[in-house]
This record gives sequence, structure tokens and C-alpha cells, in this order.
Amino acid sequence: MTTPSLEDILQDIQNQLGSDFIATDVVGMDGLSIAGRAANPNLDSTAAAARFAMVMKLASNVTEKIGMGDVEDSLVTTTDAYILTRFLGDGSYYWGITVTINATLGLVRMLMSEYANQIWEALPH
Amino acid sequence: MAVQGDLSEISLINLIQLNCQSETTGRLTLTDQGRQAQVFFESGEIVHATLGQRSGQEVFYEILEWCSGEFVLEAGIPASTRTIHTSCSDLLLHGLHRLDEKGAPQPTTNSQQPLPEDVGKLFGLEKSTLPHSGDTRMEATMAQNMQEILTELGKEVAGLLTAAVVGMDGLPIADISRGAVDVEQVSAQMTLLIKLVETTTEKLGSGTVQDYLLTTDKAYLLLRFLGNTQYYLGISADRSQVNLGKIRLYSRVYAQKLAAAMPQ
Repeated sequence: MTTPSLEDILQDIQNQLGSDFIATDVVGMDGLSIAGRAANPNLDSTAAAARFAMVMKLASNVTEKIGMGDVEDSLVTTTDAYILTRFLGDGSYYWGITVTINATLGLVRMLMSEYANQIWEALPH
Repeated sequence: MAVQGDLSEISLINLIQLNCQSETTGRLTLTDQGRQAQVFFESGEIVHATLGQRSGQEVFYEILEWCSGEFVLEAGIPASTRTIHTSCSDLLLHGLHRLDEKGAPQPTTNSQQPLPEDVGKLFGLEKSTLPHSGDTRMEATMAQNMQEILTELGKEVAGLLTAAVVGMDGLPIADISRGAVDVEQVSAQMTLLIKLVETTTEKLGSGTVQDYLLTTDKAYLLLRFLGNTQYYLGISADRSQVNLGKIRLYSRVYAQKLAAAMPQ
């Protein structure tokens, strides 16, 4: 059985989230996105990828300093959206999904947990 | 550009916080009753402080006690040497605690007085965003009610490690904890994080942050703003003992209670 490509996996996730889907990106910890999809094709996710890489780095440093363990994922709830980010594999990449505030949060978390390993396996490393 | 003013118009703590927040590089000179002190900033970090012939971190803590005098803030003047290696937030945190312990008067000013316009301009801030010096006393009176609400929360949520109401200066005004958790350190660190999250979502135009949840292999850390963005409820809980849905629900309910306990 062949491993599905990163693009195929992200497309599948977009399909499952339907109209609540805003964007998803797989990002290196250097802040550069290596694959992504957005409901709006004009959306430039470059800035989001870089900024959330900073958030994930600081989150890791903070939890280490306060002895709360290793970060697995984070969730930002805003007035407009849920922004979920999750470390992949050895932590050299993270995966982010943004959905509307109407999305079912439990479903999005479940999807991320389900697909995280597939995405990691599809990554070149 | 140099800005001059009087510590009766803006408190020293506020002035230093503004320099840190706006990542200033420059020199703050203070004069009062024949004595002179200087604090040097480099990209928002406090790197050097002098008082007469003395310098260093202890001197900085002494300077923090100043309640009166005049100041001159000169941007772009670097320190000739570095005698302080502690972060700005930690310095202020420890400095304020030392003042509390000594029973020294808080270096605050009358919050009803208008702040110098040029100070706000220098930092690119509206007056309404400048910290109010009356906050310290107000926080003390709020803390009792908040403590009771947090204690109630602690009884409701099994696995809760800490719960604290924290200002955006990183200082907790009420807290409960189970086990050996350093609430002050957690509060200071989590405030840094929530500030970055807030800035990030603002820059991306993703709406206003309501809450932020961090999941680690050991714990859930949940931060929820209390009606405004000046204070938040921070909760950490043992992941093996608590249900995520429940902790989010309780954080919403108790954030409302805590927000209601705050003076409007």
C-alpha cells in the first residue's frame, strides 16, 4: 500500500470539515510552510505559519520552564475562529488547522489526532 | 528624541513597563532631591542601572522605590556596560515583591491625573492603553472575593493543579494551588505566552482571543480572559484526572463569576 501524499491528506481533511474549514498548513519549526490548503485560494498563510511557529516554540519553552511537560497541541479560541496547532513526530514540524467558530471542536481535535501520524509519515525525513 | 516628565504624572513602574513593552533602547535618567539614577534599556530589556557610583540589579530594586522626582527618557542611547542579565518581567516581578515585603509605599501616582501626552506618543500608545497606577490598591481589595471563587472552582474540578487570576503584567492577584507549583513563575511565563498569542491573532486578523489551551503530555493549561484583556483566569490541571470538556466549561462559568467580581 502506498502512503498518500501530503496534499491528498490535507484535501481529505478539508473535505471532512466542509464549510467550517478555513485553512491548514504543515510547517517546519523554521516557520516555513511546506504544504497547505485554504478555503480561500487568495489567502496567504505565510505569515500565519511563521507567527504560529513562534507561538509553538515559546509554548515549549514555557511548559519546560514550569515543569508542565512536553507540548502536544494548542488551541486558540477567538471571536471568529478556532486555531489548532499540533507538533508532528519528533517536533521538527507542526500542523495547524483554522476552522470557523461554528465548527465542532471535538471533531476537529479528533481529526487531528487521527491524521497526525499519516502526515508525519508523508513528510520527508 | 528625549521626553521629560515628573513621576507624579506617571509612576516609575509604568514608565519602565512601557519601555519594556515597546522594546526601547535608551536611557532613563531620574533626579530627585540631589540624587541621580539611570536605567538603560536595550530592545526592551533592562541591562544596566546606576545610582551614584553604584550599579547593578540591587541598585535597580532601590530605584524602583522612588515615588517622586523628574525623569528624562532619551531614546537610542546604549549602555556602556551590562550589569543586569534578568528579564524585564522578572525584574519587575521581584522588585514589586520586595517592595511588598519591605512595606514600602507602592511607587504609584494619582491615576486621575492625565498622563503626559509626549510619553504616550513616544511609545506609540493611546492614553487608554497605559497602565493605571491605582491598580495595585484596587487589586488588593478584589483579591479576597476572587480567592473565594477560585477556592470554589478548586472544589469542583478534580485534578486541578493551579488556578489564578493574573494581570497582563504577569502578577497573580489571587491563586490556589495543589502540590509544589510555583504560581508566580507559572503566571509570569503564561502571560508571556498569552501576549504572543494575542499579538499573533491580532496581526493575522483572526479575531479577538477568548481563550488559549495548551495540552502537554502531563497537563492541560487553559487561559481565559475575564471580560477584558487586562486579566485572565489561568488553570492548570492534571491531564490524567480531568476531562477537557469539563475544564473548558468550568473555566467559562468561573471566568464570568470572576469578571463580575471585578470593579467596573
